[in-house]
Formats: sequence, C-alpha cells, structure tokens
Amino acid sequence: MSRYPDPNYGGSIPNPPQQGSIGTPYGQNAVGPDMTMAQPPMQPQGTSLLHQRPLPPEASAGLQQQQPPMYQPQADVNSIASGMSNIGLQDSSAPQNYPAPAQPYPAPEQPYGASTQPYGASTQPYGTSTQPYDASTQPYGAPAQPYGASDYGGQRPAAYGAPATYQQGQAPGMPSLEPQMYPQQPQEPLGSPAVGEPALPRPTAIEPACGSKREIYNSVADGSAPGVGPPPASRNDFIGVDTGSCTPRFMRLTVNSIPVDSSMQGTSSIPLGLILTPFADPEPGEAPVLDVDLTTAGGGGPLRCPKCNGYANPGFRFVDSGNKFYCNLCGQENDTPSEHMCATNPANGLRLDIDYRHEFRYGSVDYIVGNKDYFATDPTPPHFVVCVDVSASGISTGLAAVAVQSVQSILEANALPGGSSGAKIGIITYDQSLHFYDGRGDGQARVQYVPDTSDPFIPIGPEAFFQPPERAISVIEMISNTFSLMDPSQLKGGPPPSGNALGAAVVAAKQALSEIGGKVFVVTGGIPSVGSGKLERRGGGSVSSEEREKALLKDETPFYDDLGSQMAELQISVDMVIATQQPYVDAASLLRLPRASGGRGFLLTNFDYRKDDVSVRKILVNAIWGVRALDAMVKVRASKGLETGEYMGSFGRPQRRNDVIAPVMGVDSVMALELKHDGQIQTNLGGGSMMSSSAFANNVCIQCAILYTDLAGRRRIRVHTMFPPKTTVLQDTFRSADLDAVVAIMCMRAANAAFSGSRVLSKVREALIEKTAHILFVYRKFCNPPKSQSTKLVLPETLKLLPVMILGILKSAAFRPQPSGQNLGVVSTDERAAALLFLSTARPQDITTFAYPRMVLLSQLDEFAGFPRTPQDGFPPEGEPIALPASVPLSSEFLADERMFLVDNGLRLVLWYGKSCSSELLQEIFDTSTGVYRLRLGEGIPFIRSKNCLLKRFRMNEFLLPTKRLAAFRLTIEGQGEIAMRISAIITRILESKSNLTQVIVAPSGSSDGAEQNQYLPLLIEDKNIALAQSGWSYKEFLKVAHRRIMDKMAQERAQKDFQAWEMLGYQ
Amino acid sequence: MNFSELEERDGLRWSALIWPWSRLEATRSVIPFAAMYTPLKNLQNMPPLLRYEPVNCKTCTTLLNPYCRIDPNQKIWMCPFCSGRNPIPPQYSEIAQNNLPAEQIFTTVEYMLPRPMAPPPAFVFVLDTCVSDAELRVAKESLMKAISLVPPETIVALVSFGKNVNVHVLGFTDSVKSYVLRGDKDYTSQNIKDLLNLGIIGSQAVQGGQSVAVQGATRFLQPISECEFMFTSVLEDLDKDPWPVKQNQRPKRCNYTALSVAVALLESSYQGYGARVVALLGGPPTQDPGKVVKLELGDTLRSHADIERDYAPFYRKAVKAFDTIATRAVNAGHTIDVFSCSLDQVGLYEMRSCVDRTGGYFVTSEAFSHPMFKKSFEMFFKSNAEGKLNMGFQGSMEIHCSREIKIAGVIGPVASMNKSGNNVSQEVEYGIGGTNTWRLCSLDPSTTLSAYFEVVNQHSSAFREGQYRYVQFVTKYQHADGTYRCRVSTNAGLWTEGSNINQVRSSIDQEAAAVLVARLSVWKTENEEAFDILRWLDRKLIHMCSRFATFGETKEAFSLPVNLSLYPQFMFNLRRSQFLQVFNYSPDETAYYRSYLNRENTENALLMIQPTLISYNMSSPPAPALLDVSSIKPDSILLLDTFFYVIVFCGERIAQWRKAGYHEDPQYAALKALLEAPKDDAASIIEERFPYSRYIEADEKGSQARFLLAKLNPSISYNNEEQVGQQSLIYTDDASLQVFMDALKEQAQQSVQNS
Repeated sequence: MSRYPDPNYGGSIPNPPQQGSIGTPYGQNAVGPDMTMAQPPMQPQGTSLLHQRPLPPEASAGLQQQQPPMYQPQADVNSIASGMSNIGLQDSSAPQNYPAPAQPYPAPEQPYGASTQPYGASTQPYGTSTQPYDASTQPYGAPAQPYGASDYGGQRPAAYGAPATYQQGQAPGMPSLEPQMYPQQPQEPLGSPAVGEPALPRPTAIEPACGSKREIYNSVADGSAPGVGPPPASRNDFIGVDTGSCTPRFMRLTVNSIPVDSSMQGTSSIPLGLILTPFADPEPGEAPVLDVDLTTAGGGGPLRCPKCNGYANPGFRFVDSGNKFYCNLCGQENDTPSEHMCATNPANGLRLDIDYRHEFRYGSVDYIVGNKDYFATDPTPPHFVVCVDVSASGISTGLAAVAVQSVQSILEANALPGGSSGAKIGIITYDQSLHFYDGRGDGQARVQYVPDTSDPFIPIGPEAFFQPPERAISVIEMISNTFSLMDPSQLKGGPPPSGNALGAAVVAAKQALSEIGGKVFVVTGGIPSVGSGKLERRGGGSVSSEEREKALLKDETPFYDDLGSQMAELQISVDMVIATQQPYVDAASLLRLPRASGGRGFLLTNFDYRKDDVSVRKILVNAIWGVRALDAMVKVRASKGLETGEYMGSFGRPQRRNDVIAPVMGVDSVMALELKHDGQIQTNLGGGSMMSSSAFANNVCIQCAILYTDLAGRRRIRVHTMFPPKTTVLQDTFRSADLDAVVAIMCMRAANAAFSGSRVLSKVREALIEKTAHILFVYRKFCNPPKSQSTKLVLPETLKLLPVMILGILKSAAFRPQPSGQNLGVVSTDERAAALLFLSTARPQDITTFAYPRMVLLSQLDEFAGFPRTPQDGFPPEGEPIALPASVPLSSEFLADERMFLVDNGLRLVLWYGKSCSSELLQEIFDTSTGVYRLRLGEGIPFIRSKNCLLKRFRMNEFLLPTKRLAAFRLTIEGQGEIAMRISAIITRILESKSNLTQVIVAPSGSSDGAEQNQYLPLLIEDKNIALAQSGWSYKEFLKVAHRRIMDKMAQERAQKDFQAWEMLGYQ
Repeated sequence: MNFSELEERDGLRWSALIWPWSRLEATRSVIPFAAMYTPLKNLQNMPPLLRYEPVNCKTCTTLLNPYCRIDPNQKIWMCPFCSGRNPIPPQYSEIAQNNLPAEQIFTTVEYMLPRPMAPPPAFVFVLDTCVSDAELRVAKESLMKAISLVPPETIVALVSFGKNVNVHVLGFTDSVKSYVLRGDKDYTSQNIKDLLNLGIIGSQAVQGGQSVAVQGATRFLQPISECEFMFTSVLEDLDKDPWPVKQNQRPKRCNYTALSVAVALLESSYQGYGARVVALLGGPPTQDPGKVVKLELGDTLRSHADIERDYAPFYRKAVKAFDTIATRAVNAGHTIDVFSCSLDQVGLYEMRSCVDRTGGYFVTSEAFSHPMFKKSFEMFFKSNAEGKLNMGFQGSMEIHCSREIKIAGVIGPVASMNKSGNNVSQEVEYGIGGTNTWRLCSLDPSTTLSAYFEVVNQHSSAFREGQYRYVQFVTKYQHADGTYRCRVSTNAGLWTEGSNINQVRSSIDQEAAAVLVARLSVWKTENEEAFDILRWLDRKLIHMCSRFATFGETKEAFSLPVNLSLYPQFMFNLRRSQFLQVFNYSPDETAYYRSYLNRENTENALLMIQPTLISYNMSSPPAPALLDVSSIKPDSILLLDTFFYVIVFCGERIAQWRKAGYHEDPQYAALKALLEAPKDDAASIIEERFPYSRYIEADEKGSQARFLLAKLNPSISYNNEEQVGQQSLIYTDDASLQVFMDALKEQAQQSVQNS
C-alpha cells in the first residue's frame, strides 16, 4: 500500500525510510534544488541536522525503539562530527587532535556508571588563546575565545586549566551515567562535514529522525518496573500506550525514580513534582481514556479506599479470594464492598473480571458517576459567555468583527462543546455600557444597554440571556448589524464610544453564571476605562528601573485578582484575549483575571485586523472548542510518605488543603504541583507479595483524580495513576529526570514569583541560573566521574539540555532584562506580563519550544519532511503526523542569503529568508500576483501579513477543528507545487499543534519594517546578544557561567572541608 | 345670591360672599374664609383670547382689571389692591369709559401671551411588565391606542420595568434597543443623566454646514409621527419581565426607580415644558428604594392600622423616597399620573405626593383589562375639538389680595413655589401656605383649587360701609397647543360689620363651604399628627350652628336658614365618608379618593361627599330620593352616583320581574322602559366622567347591594329592626342622621347657652 495515495506527487515520491538505512551526508542525497548546502565552506550549519536517520537496528539492540540517535556511534568520524555543532572553540590548526568517539552506547549488560571513558582529552588549556572570540565578524574560522579567558581565566588559570567538556549523552530511555566528555576542539575548516567539534547539546539531539516511525511508548514496559528512564520528550511525536500507568500525555514527573526520603530529595536538588495535562487529546493512534460507566450499575460509586479515599488502580491488591484488598496508597486493608466484589484468580492474584474492569488495568480511566456524593449541584450542560469589546478600540481595529465571526463559525460548524446536549451561549458586548441580547421569541433579538458600569448587573433573566447555538447565531447577526461590524463607517449615531467597560462586562458574566458555572471568553481591544475594574494608564513607555518594572507587574488594583478568585469559587473560568493597538493596556492587572480563575490570557500587541484576524480567530476557536470539563475539582494523592505541595498552573484556587478548584478545564489545561516528603516513602504495604501486580505494588503510586462535569452534563471522575519506582540511589534520579517537567516546574515557579511582583526580575533570573548550576553541581559532585575529569563541565544525560533551555527562558520576553538606552529587545510591561502568564500556564511542550524554538530549514527540505511520518506497524497511515524537518541550532551563524528558515517559539511562527533566496521557491509559496505575500496554505488560506494586504475570510472550520484537520489537509494540498505543498503541510502542522500559535510572520533579511530585527533575531538564542546585557550570553558563554558556578561551589565545598579538616586538627 | 352664576362667570365659589370686617368676627364665623377656584373652567361668557401682554400694577404686580379706576385725562389707572397709581401704557391711549378693553369689562379674561411656542407636550409611558402575559397584552394595546389618540407631534418615550428599568430607544436605531438600569439602586438624578447620556452627545451636521446639537435624550424622546413604527415594534417585542418569580413570592418590581428614571428623562430635556409621566403599574414595588412590601406573598400590604401603629416597616422610607421624585418633578414642572391595575394595593399611598403635588391623576382598577382602566386611559388622551389635548402644562397660580386679607394657603393638586409676599399670612396655614404662588404642573378644566384666606383687620379698625375686598387669581400656563396663556380672575366682595350676622349668614354657600371644610379636614388628618378629625369637625359644626342657627325653647325650634340647611347633612356624610373613615379602606383607596376630593370642582366634590340618589318607579317620573335606607322600595329602581361609582339598584319586586323576563314581553314595555331609564342615565353620567366610574348593577338583597347600602343613612339598622319589619336595613352601628341631628341640636344649644 502506498503511503502516498496522491498521484500528484509524481516522480518526487520519496522513498520511505528503511529500517537500517543509514543516512548519508546531505550533499549526496539532496532532494531540493537548493544546492547551497553542498558548498561547505560557506555554510557553518551542521549538516548533520539534515541527515539523521533511524538507527541501524543493531545499534539499538536491546534498547527497543526508544532511541532517536544523536549521532551515529559506530559510524565514521564524519557522522560523529556531524552530530555536533560547529560552535565552540576552534583551532583550525589542530584537527588531528580530535579523538575518536568513545563508546557511546554501553552494552545492555553493562552496569550503569561503569564506563567513564571520555572523548579524548583537551589540547587546548584555558587562557592560552590570545584571540578573543568575536562572533559578529568572525563567526567561524577564528579561534574562539578560550574558556574563561576574558572573564576569569586570568585569575584562576590553574584551577580551570582544562577545557570544559560537554557530555554527549546517550539516547533517552537508556541513560547512562558516564559523562562523555568532549574536548573543546577547534573546528575543521568551515563547512567540512567531516570534522567538527563535539556538539553543544541541543534539542536536535533528542529529536527522532525526520520521517521515522513514531516511537511507541509503553507506560509500563512488559510488567517489569515501570518508568526506568524519562518518557519521550513532549515536543516529539510518540504514541503513548497505557499499559497500566498513565502515559506522559497526561502526567509527567520531574524524576521518574522518586527519592525515598526528604534528605535524599534535598540532596538531589531536582525539583520533585509533576505536570498534569489531564484532558489532553489523544494523538492519532493513541487510545482515548476508557469510560467506566457506573450509572447503570445501581448508581454506586467507584471502588475507593475507605481510609485515604484513593481510587481503584492497577496497584490495588486483592487478597483473600478477592474479599479484601490492600490500598497501595495508604496500605490499608479493606473489605471489598459487595458491588465491587469479584473472585481472584489463584494463579496470579488478579481479579477474574480484570478484562472488563478498566480501572484495575489502566493508568487512566474516566468514571461516569450517578452517585449523588459526587454532585454539588445538578450538573448542567456547559454555559458560555462571550464578552466582546465594541468600543472604539474594538470596532475600529476590526477586533469585534473577528471575535463575533469566530464565535459564529464555531456555532455554525456545530462545534460548540456540548452543543448537542444543551450547551448554551450568552453574548455580552460592551463599550462604555454593557449590551445584552434577549434572544427569545421569533423576531429579532433585543438589545438592552446597561449604562451603569460601576454597579453592573444582568438585565435579563437567564432564559433570555443564554441561547442554544442556533438562536445565538441570530443574536450574533444582530450584533453585527447593530454595530456595523463589517463596515464601521456605516455605524449610525456617530462613532462608537471610546469608553471600555471590560471589568463590568466580566462582573455581569459572573452574575449570569453564578448559579451554574461555566466559561467566559473576554475579548478586549484596550484598557478598561470606565466602571468597575477601571484601570489607570500607570505604565507604558520605557521602564526606568527594575523596581519600577516590578511595581508595574503587580496589579494596580486587586479587582481582577479578586474577581477571578470569586469566579473560580463559582466554577467560572475566564479566558481573555487582549488584541490592542494601544501602547499600554496594563496586561499585568488584566491577566490576573484569567490567572486567578483557571483560564488563559492572550495578548496581541500592535493588533491589526488585516494581519491578525487569524490570530484572534484561532485563539478564540481553540479556546472554545477545547473546553472539556466543567465544575472540576482536582485532587492528587500519593503513596504514604509523599504529600502534595504547591500547585501551579491554570486552575482556580486551592479550596481545602489539597483540593483544587479548576472551574473549567480543556485540552490545554496544565497543572503543576510539587511533591513533598513527609517521611520515608512506603510501598508494598501490607499483604503478601503477589506475583503479577508486584510491579505496581512495589512502586510509588501517584494518583490524580478530577471530579468534573463533561460536555454532555454528566458527572465524571477522571483518574490518572502512575507508578514510578522509588530509589535510594541518587544517580537514579538523574537517570530518570524528565527535562520537560523540570524546565516547566522551574519556569512556572519563576514566572509566578515575577508575576506576583515579589521579586525583581534580576533576582528571579539569578535564581534560575543558580538552580540550574546547583542541579549540575549535585550531579557533578555525587554522580561524578573520576577526579581527573573534575574540571570539565559534566552534564547529566537526561538534563543535558537544561542549560540551553534556561538560557532560552532568560532571553525570552518573560525574563529578558531591559536594555539600557536602546530600543532593540525592549520588552513592554504588557508583553512581559503576557509571557509570564504564558509560562505559568503552558504545557511542557510549549515551554520547551518557547525556551528553545524549533527552527527548520525550508530552503532545503529533508527527504521526508512535509510528508506523513512512516506509520508504525499496525497503525493506519492516515493518522500519522506530518514529519517536520530536523531542527537547526538557533544561531545566526546558520543564516545565509540563500536560505529560508521557519522558527516556531510557541507564540509566533517566523519565516525568514535571505536576500538571495531562490525566486522559484518564493514564487512557490507566496502569492505575489496581488502584490501581497500570501502563503498558499490549505484552501488558499491567507496567512501572511504584508503592509497593505486585505485578507479574505478564510475557511476555518476544516482548518482549526482537529477532528477534521487531517482530512482537510489531504484535500487541500492538491494542485500545488510539491515544495509549497510540503511547506504548507509543515506550517499547517505547526500551527495546528499550538493553540497559542496563530500566524506566520514573514521577516525577510533586511526587511524594512524591522520584522527581522524584532521578530526573528531575538529568537536566535544561542547568539551573543549585546543588547541583552547580562543575559546576552551566547550559549557557550552561558555554559561557562554555569561551569564557573559549579566550580565555585566545588571549590567552596573543598575549602570548607579543608578548613574543617584543619579545625579538626586542633581538637585532636 | 346665585352662587353658580358667579361660578359660571369666574370659576369661583366662595364659602361666603360677604365677610365680617374684623379678624375676631371672621374667626367667630367658623366657616373658613375661602374660595373654590377652577382656573381653566370653560366659561361661556369669557371674551375671546387677548393676544397681548397684560398690564400690571407697578407696585403690587396686580393685573389691570375691571375694578381699576381709569383716569383717561391723566392717563393713569388706580390699582384697587394697593391704591397705587399707574400710567396708562401707550397702547391703551384710546381708553375711555365707553371704550374699555376687555380686561376692564370682564372679571375673567385670558391672555395669549406673545411668546415663542412651546414644544409639543411629552409623555413618558412607564409600563410595568411584571404582570401576566394577557394583562401585558392589554396594557400594550392601550398604549397603542393612546398614541393613536394624541396629536402626532406629541413627544413620547417608553420606560418599561420589572426587576430592572428599561428605557427604550425610539430614535436613531434600526434594532430594538433599550437601556437598562438597576431596579434596586437609588440613582441620583445626575447619575441617571450620566448613565443614559442625556446631555448633549454630539452635533449633527445639517445642510448648510451648520451643526445642530443632538440631545442625548432624543434617542428616547421622539415625536409620534417619527417613531410610531419603532414604538409599535418595541411594544410588540416587549415581553413579560424575564426574571423568574419564585413560588409564593411577588415579582421583583422597581416602581420607584422606574419613576425616577422617567422623571430624569424629562428633567434633562424637557425642563420647563409640558410633560407627563404616565405610569401603568401592575403591583406594589418590592425592591428598595420605594419598597412597600416584602417579596414574600405571606407579607401582606400595610393597612391604615399598620401605618398608625407603626407596623409598616417600609412606609416611612418609601414615602420619603417618592417625595424626592415628587420634588424633582415639581421643580421641572412635570406631572406624574398613575394608573394602577392590580387587585392588591400598589403603594399609591406612599406615592401620593408624586401625583397630588404634580397635578397628576390616580386611576385604579383591578386589571388592565378592566374598563375602568381602558376607558379612563382613552379619555385621558382624548383631544378636544381643536385637536389638542385637554390639558394645560407648567402652570402657576398667583393670588393677589387687598390689604385686609392675607393668604393662608391653597389645597389642591399644586405645589408651593415658595414665593413669599406681604399678602402671605404668617400666622395661619391651611394647606400649602407660606407662599402666594403655586405651581400647577398640569391643570385641566376640572382642576379646582381651594384658596384659604385670613382676615387681618383688627376689631378696632374703622369700618366703612360698602367697602370691598379684592382678590385676583393669575394663572399662567402652557396650553396644549404650545401657546402660553394667562388667565386672570378678579373678584370683589363686600365687607360687613362683624355684628351683622344676617348678612354673612345669607351669603354663605353651603356647598362650597362643605367642600372647603372637607378638603381642610382631609389636609389636617393627613398632615397633622394625632389629629382627631371627627371631633374637630363636630366642634366646628356645633360652633357654626350655634352661630348661625336660630333657637327656640325646644329642640324642634332649632332651625338653620335655607342656604345652610343641608350643611349638617353634608358634615354627617363627610364624617362617614371614605375620606375620613379609613376603616375598611386600604391606604391606596384612601389616597385615590382623597386625590379626587382635592382636585375636583365643588359639584363633583360634593357628590363624593354626599352622593345623589335618584328613584325610578312606574308611577312617577324619576326624582331625587333621600339618601336613606328608607328610599329602598321593592318597586323602584335607584340610581346612586358617588362620583367613583354608579349603581343601578333594582328593588326586590322589580328584580323578580326582570328575572322572570317580563321586560322582554312587549306587553310590559313600560317595565322595559323603567329598567332602561336608569341605565341610560348612568351611562350618560359615566360617559362624561373622568376617571371612568365603576358601574355596578345590584339587586336588593343581592351581594352588590352593599355598595349602595354603605352610602345610605342607616335610619333603619338592626338596632331598630323590629319596628320596620320587611324593610331593608343596614347592619351598622353607625348613628343615623336623625340621631346625629338630635345630638347636634342639643350641643349647639348648649354651646350658645354656655357662651
């Protein structure tokens, strides 16, 4: 069966990757017309990026499918070098000093930590080079700055005489403790793919090969101890299979081996916590969470431990022929209630009904409950309120038109969540007064204005206000007519008022939903200027000092925070879209509303209807469509010895000590929480050992239960359970650390601190750097290689990307320091607040992409890029996601005039191309016939801005609704050139995967509107950025900073020890 | 003297035409020195409109009148009020004894002042939507009917309310749009203006490059000719208040805020021009401010007893709240009319100042579908022969009087304009005093004020025979056609020596006096704390009798002159009337009845005090019958007109005949005629009356008969039942007129003997 049923692909059908085929250097296998890559001297780019291929089977023997290669271990030296970046210390005179790669993969039987063989030894001590590194003029070829030469090399050459080494780890899933050290080597002549210095660790290294099969990740492998290593990176494609423990799709732990007690946890320094995305949609090929319907069976509740209230899970151990069971959370022995009674199989101790009782078999289940214990009030179908700004700031920018059209298209597509089961929607528009629409009756809807915005209220009863989708459409039409949204110049009665009563609109929405709960979507084009929640323009312009910025990040008035909390209490959540042309809208105050109510906030500055309408549409459509659970309450339980700590992420407020109100949850809802020890972790509590369930029973159990109302108005409980092993070995925590979760928790915590205004940003940055250094220091100290290597920078395999991720975060809009006296890189307080809110509510994959954007080369597509991935055996090819090209390091060194790159940081997608980019390619993907750059995407979906373009309405339903998206894609890529088609597919895939990501910004090299300067270049986080002062470190410099700190800590500790030893002498 | 002749000439009825000269004697006359004045009375003999400005006295501002002495030679005229000398203005240069202007001939004239026309009158309809769908439909139909009746240039606005107040946009819009204000919030007037953006909101360019200020209020206030379609579609779309009403609860209603908003709407844009707020209420306000009862149906509306004993927790607050609205309306010169259509009370008692002080009307009925409401509402908007509304606006009445008397106050649908002058009494105050000018926010031909005066001459001051006292009423108002008018009535009366009782006695108008006393007693009972009004009335009556009656040796010798003979009976009926007796009447009813007593003319007011009873029978033509239970005869039909309702009451036998269907038999055409005659008469009474009278048909011993019996003198009650056998009787403990008269004679005699 062909993977490419479309004959239009013609002769350019690429061969599907073969198992065992080894990638060849790019130049030998070029598919694209762009041959620039074949000219090595000009191109510093690591060609290796383009020819990663699935490992030969023999290389991955015993490792199952789980190792995307970072380099080809047994291959020739060229391929090794190709896995490394070209950036680094370079010495063109000494290429021969390159050592052969050391053993990269331990044999399966080899015990961890045994191999310490490093890659070669450095020949370049610190401080010997005299030529300073200057990236701007001599990116390559010149000897780079020696490690620490300019900073501290002169002072302490002896202590840091040896170059730092970067550990080049092994495949995830089979981590090794051996630090593999690479000397910092000078580079071969530029562009030579054959020789290179060891790579700086980059996310590229953890990406599976382009077009390869998706990894199948079994949450519990084969009945053995689950979770030996970290799960696949969240930004990679994989198929998670629930084999008894919930998949990383729903829950990720920072470490997958839990330190056994607090002292060990304290030593380990990796934050212990988990990230929940409990309502994530399954990827194609993944099974949905299974339902356990309890409403039919007499209305009883699920089986729970009477002592700790834990829910049934595969770790419940039944004894006494099923008459009793042990709870794996608290160890209590309980009588099995009669309705859950089932005999056990004496052979394996399993219940005989195990095949029918999902809760005893799977890590994730969804109970449908009829038992009144789980109802606070009668569940209702979802109720939505949309608040649209029709003041001058909303009308004249076109925002209101886009907003109501978005809602209309959702309604017309029958895509309102719960729409078929009685969901209703109410619409409030507001300017200086609030407008309500009474949609009852047959005639036209009636508008009611509430001018009293200081004391707002709902003027019409709920029956009149909330309408089913079909009536709501007519209400929207009426709104369009009333305010002449399509053509504001036709507005009767003069220009729209300038007052903006956003706060009052939300208060009214709160009143409307106060008895039923629900979701509110607020769209505003400006700062609220009248009535309740009115804000002063206290900021804007340049931020003079850190203290000033800290004050501005605090809310001006507690109004929005309080309102959000009150709404959360009433089971109402707010999403807010701020799309404005105003220079300052006090987003720091406004965004506290979504933050406190468990919603999300979006900020679009310099909003222009003509280019940004798609963004608003997408945000709104995704936000509405993505709602999954209402009236939700979250509770996390863990084995004896662990308790829950601080909660972070998008939810309302902790209600009692450990319960969290999450008014409304959707596919993107994220919650993070820290776990704390309150004693030794105890597992395998009570009862005799059982054969089959021991894997579960001996491990720690972490269970998240969410009581919620689904879209059909049924009460449900979703339970995700994980069984990480506990450990007493510190190395295990590093070996099982999950980079995504660690970065996410660190970012959330930092963002919360900054957003709350309790710390100036420099302190937060410092804390992030320090924490990073400390983690690495602990690794260095306790899991260290022989002392001979002690001065090298050693990175644990699982966390080798931690420094670059943290660097990216530091350079992001969330934490970037304000440049002094320059415009470049200035972050407005609004953007800062939005970025901080984003960080504290984003999914792990969004955070890592935000930290280290994914940049792909479009001018020379990888062979498989833009086509669906190779299907797994037994999976239909239709569900396979589009393969993205391998990512490219984020360094300006890779920019070249012939190239075209696409960078995605989760918030925007930037398309950059050089001055001499091939005109054929440009013509392929841009529609220049109208003088407008327009990427041909999907059915002529116009995506791209230009200064004067007017965009057509685009057809969104196929595009944005995931249920239809793949089919739509296949329909719409017909009839275009192959390259454009593949690029469309890539862009479409990226856009679809991120709800925040809304548009493609075209930033050609040297663009006059500053798009390149402002949008593109700041994303190149590996560059040294002078404008960014302290955080303007290049990647390498940052590693040096981290290394120095580690060394400082080591030295400090050694000095302390020496001192203590000396002191001790005195007592003898 | 013919009192009605005077009334026909000037619209005036004095309690007595000739008055004792001194203060002491005047006080001893007991009857108040006062007049009933109907400023807009249609006077047959009034000269045509005088289309020029009146001439006034420089000293006392009194207008030129027939009592002024003209000296054509010196070109001066003498003001009879202040004896001031004024030059005759040039336009009167032709004046001579045989060539006098109308104002020099007629005691009542009306000027049409040469001023720019006022804009057409405005009506703000305030509609309660907390009623049943059927009721609301009828109310809406009535509104539609109303706007079809009034002249098309009339300005209208629509405010509907329930839990909240909706102000409907009638101009500049395609869609059905309204502004909503919270029902339970006490907005200040300025608040409302700001919230509804009633100021000038911008300018609209018109041809020629000029820009015209667009009043924010014009969105709500539009001429019918412009907004009829919009008004109709708004009304069509208007549904019952959408807020759910819990079982056992009243709907949430915000009568106060609705009125307040309506008044604010007019205040901002129609200050100083004629406008009325027409409120259609379906129930009591249950929301603060202005709340009169709790939401729970279990909480019943306050009764008089509750108010007296201070068991009405919301009463004072509500009165205070509505008083503020009244004050605002008066200041802007606007009127509030209340049509209440509810079985239960709606809180009229609390809002009476809004209506009474602004010259508005109360109309009550059980439902919007009841003819009482429908007909009254239609009549209210009826235009006169000229196609104009039958009402005047923005009126003010000033009283000038000669030096011997001072103004004690006015009772009627007016408000004080607080204009003091040296003709204002400092010592006594009857009704609204302390001013010589009153505001009549609206007035119509039936609006009748009672003006009370005080004689200030000392007993010792010299009296000259044939001396006159002068009183001039100057009423300025805005006519419904937009012109400004000024009606002037000047009256002169003789003084008499104090001892000359006969002269006074013969000049007493007992009907006017009874009404004047009735109004005064109502005023006192409403405004004076812990006032025993019946005792006061009795004392006054006894004093009056002892002053004016003639006494003999026996009781039977007691007699009153003809022109006073009915006065005790009026007082007897007044004592028993709903105006003073609150037992069995709800506060709302009391407010309603008193409101009409205080605004109708002498004849109607007297009708309210003492209804007329006409007896129809086969043997004789219809004749007035005694207002006595003994008038009930089995073979006669009675027609009782109490102003508020009209009862046709069939005697027992006639009722039996009718039930047997004899009247349908051509042989008994006479019976048929007899049955129809009172009905026709009733119909013609009702036709003319505003508010539409309740029409009741009753049979003797039928359930409806109680309406009649309540008004009859209980000469036969169960106390003396044995004596009368089969005769109808009234179950009451009230004293009969006979008992009352006997006691009166006794007391009067005693009083004379004691003095």
